[in-house]
Amino acid sequence: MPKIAANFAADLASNVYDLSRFGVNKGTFYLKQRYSKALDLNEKNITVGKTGGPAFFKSRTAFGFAVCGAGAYKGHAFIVLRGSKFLADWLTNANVGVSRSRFAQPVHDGFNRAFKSMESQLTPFVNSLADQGISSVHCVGHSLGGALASVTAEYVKATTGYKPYLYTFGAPRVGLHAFADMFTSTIGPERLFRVYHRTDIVPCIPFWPFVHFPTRLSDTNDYFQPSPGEFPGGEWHSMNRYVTTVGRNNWSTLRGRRSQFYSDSAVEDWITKRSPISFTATNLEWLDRAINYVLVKILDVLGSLITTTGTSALTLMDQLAIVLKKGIDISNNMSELVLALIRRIMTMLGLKPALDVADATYMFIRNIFQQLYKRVSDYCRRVLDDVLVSGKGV
Amino acid sequence: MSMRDYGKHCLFSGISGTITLDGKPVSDAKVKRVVGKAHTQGELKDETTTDKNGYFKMPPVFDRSVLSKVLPMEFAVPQRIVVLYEGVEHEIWNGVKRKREENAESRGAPLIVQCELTAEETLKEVDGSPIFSKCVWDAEADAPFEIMPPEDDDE
Repeated sequence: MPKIAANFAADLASNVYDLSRFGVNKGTFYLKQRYSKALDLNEKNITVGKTGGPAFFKSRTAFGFAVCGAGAYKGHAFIVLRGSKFLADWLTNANVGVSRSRFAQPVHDGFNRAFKSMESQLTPFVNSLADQGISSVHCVGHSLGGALASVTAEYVKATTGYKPYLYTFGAPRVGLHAFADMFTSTIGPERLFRVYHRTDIVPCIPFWPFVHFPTRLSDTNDYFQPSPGEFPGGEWHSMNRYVTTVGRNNWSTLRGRRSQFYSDSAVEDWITKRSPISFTATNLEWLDRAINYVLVKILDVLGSLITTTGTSALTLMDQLAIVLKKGIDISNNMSELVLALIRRIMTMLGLKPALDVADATYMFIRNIFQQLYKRVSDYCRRVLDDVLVSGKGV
Repeated sequence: MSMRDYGKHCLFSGISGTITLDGKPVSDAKVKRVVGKAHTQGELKDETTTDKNGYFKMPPVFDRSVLSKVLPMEFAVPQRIVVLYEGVEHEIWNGVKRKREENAESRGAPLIVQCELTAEETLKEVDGSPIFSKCVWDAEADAPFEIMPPEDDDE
């Protein structure tokens, strides 16, 4: 089945912000004027809440619209989302934990709750897809809307026979590794279009243990976009920037724009390097890959321990420490890798990276990760602050 | 950007112009403006009255959210102007400002409008900001969005 054009996805993700301001009548008029060739906005269909759409749905934390395609997009259905200021509050709240998604996987509780707050409004549209002669479903969103679109895609997959396509721009991390992994395998990496600028701060948060999908084949389905600057910030998060980056490019042009690749050996090299490192956009991404790499290696041996999640960030840190400690106990090779990773993190934290295997107790590892978590959170908060102060907005 | 403008973004540019009803200037009409805040909840309101020539002028509205809570939100500010004349309310402006810059509604030029209360409301998109209005102003509208067709999977 075909995917929607990149410029269409980006334009929808941008215009859902306008629609949320206009209300139903003006919103529908606006959709008509802009998308009459690609969306089915016939008068007979414009009854809010009726199946088939277009339907607008709204809660305190989320806003979206659902509509069927027309013309070249006949047979396609679209669900486009944005998050609200209240949802944004949750994103920067370190105390928000995880809850279970549709597939019983651990997702950020803020996104899960926001999705549930509008689920009943979305259900009639989703249930009517087959009757509408729809053959493919597309979920679209920027920033928090991208996170909501992800949870929505999982819902569509879980409740219908459709395998949705997902297009996100500058989206934060939605869930833990088990979620990202399950999401990647059930939806398929070739249907996941996660577009993000290198120096966009939002895809950096929430930090570990939250991870991005796709988790497999990520280098061949990678919509990384180069952007200037050393440190992640807000300038490159704005949807305007994404619209410009996407331009009239097709998906194959937007893919594989990375000059650096995260092969297993490159990640191992990075972990075992002894050079000093700072909190740059590039290093944060390497660190992320490194933690992911080591953890997956250990879990391959141990089985998926991290899926049994608690409800607070602290508990997640506990589990991370438990897994890494077990990694140290597995074998000498694994032990060396885990110790190297911890030394690397210590360097990043400005600590002297002197660490013997005997010192690497569970408490010690947990402490290092807590420091890292705090440091990254502080850093993100500071950047978000700067972003606002300089009036660039996230 | 000078220090004075630090953290400042424009929610509604300065606007001036004339209001007519059936082509005749409306005097003593109340012009009420409401804009949403960019990063926090709430609205900012101001109002003015037209003179005998139907002329009105309102200053730019800025938001400075240095002290506000940090929220990763897209800049999409709702703008509305309602004219109250002889007991009837006419909405003459309802838009969403998508750029922080002052005068983004008119591509950088001063925003000078001419509004006919009996006119049909039209939708004009200027530099990404869609505006429903009964006014005309000197700013070129965006070209229609050209949607590219679906792309086949290359699996």
